[in-house]
Amino acid sequence: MNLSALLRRRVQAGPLDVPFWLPAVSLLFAVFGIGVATYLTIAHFDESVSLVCSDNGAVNCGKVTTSAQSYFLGLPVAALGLAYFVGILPLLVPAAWRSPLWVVRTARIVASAVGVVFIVRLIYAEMFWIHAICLWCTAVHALTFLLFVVILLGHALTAPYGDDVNDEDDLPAGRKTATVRR
Amino acid sequence: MARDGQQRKNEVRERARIRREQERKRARQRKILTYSGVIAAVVAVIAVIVIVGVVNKSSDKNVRATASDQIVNAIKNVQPANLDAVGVGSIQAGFQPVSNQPALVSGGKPEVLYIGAEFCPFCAGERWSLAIALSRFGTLTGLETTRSATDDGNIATLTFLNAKYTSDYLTFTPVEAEDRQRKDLQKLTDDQQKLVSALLPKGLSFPFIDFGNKYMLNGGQFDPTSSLSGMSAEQIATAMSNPSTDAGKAIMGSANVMTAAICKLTNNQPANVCSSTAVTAAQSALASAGNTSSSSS
Repeated sequence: MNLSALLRRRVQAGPLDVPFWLPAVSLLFAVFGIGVATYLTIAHFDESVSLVCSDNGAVNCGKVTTSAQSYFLGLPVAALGLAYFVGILPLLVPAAWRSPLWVVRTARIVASAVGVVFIVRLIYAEMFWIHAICLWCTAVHALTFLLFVVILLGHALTAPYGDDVNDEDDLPAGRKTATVRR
Repeated sequence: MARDGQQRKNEVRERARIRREQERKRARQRKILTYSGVIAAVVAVIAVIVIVGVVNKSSDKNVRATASDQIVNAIKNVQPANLDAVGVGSIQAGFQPVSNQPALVSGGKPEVLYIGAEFCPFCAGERWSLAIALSRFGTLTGLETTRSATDDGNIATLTFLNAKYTSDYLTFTPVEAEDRQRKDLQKLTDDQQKLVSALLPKGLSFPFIDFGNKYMLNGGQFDPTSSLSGMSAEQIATAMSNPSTDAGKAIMGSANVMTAAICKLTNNQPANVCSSTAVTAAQSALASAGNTSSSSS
């Protein structure tokens, strides 16, 4: 089977079966991520806004958010985090989860993987370079990781019928397109 | 008959469909297992980073410890006779006069500004001397001991990270810019940054000590790797007040020159310190530095 035939068959397989909780939970994590990342971004650019957090000892938000590691390739990490959650949001809406297009599924999983790799780097920086932890940053790290978990498990649960469809008889009898489970 | 054939065909296709559905379920379970493995791997990596980071921090904390009473007393009680016996000791040239700068003052008193780093071996040597010199004009508290970086002499020393100083004559402002692992520790204020840029356009060396904008020391006065290597903080505290040891000659010699510089800020007060043989000799060394070094402005 060539690529165009495979793509046609995936589209013809129709929208995927998606557990009702999957888009809701993933969207919730992304929205919370946008909220916290927005707060961090505002605090980064507006000196009059200070983070509600300890600023001495091991938990020291000021030390982390003003460190050299608060920039990546010249860009504020807080803004990058905000861009990440805003960018991945469209891939988490119900229509995107139901989409059998491999481009959508691949983009979602790659974006979440990139997010997780980046937060691992940030955690390393906190532990070994900055020697301090920022609670708000940790909240973003946790949301990124949880989103990664939900996306991976969601992908496992919603493999399209088109993956290994041989003919339309592989669809349950009477069903030519899948519907959202209630 | 045709209907029987059709029915058999439908049954075969239905059985094949069920078989494929079961295969898909197994494939789905394998996927869940694989993705769970990936998630577990990520959790493990993060856990290792956090655990090693916490252990490292504990190790670093263990190196930085409150200075023992023996060390604190040794610093406070260096005998003037021993300081006089050493004079300028084995120190190399280091002091430079500062000109065209307003007096460095804080809280209404002349200020001694120290900028160093815990990893730095030359800072490791000079902190002993500076602590002795300052103790002749006031009281240092909050002293802790540490070591310079493992790959930079591992020299036992003090750290001024949490030190406090009280004196009727001067103010002491320490900045430990980096820790033993060369990570950022304390930041310079904007004023301190401007001062350093004005005095040292090419950049500062650790340690940098500004004595009221009258004299500055940019770097160490002696090489501690030859006189302090392999010694514990307690051993250095004992040796540094013995004029016949290498540690004593280096540390007390440096302390005497620093004392002479401080005396210039305090109008030679207290008199018993600033008129001692050692300080008088050191003031000649300062004057020589003024003749041979160029202005820093």
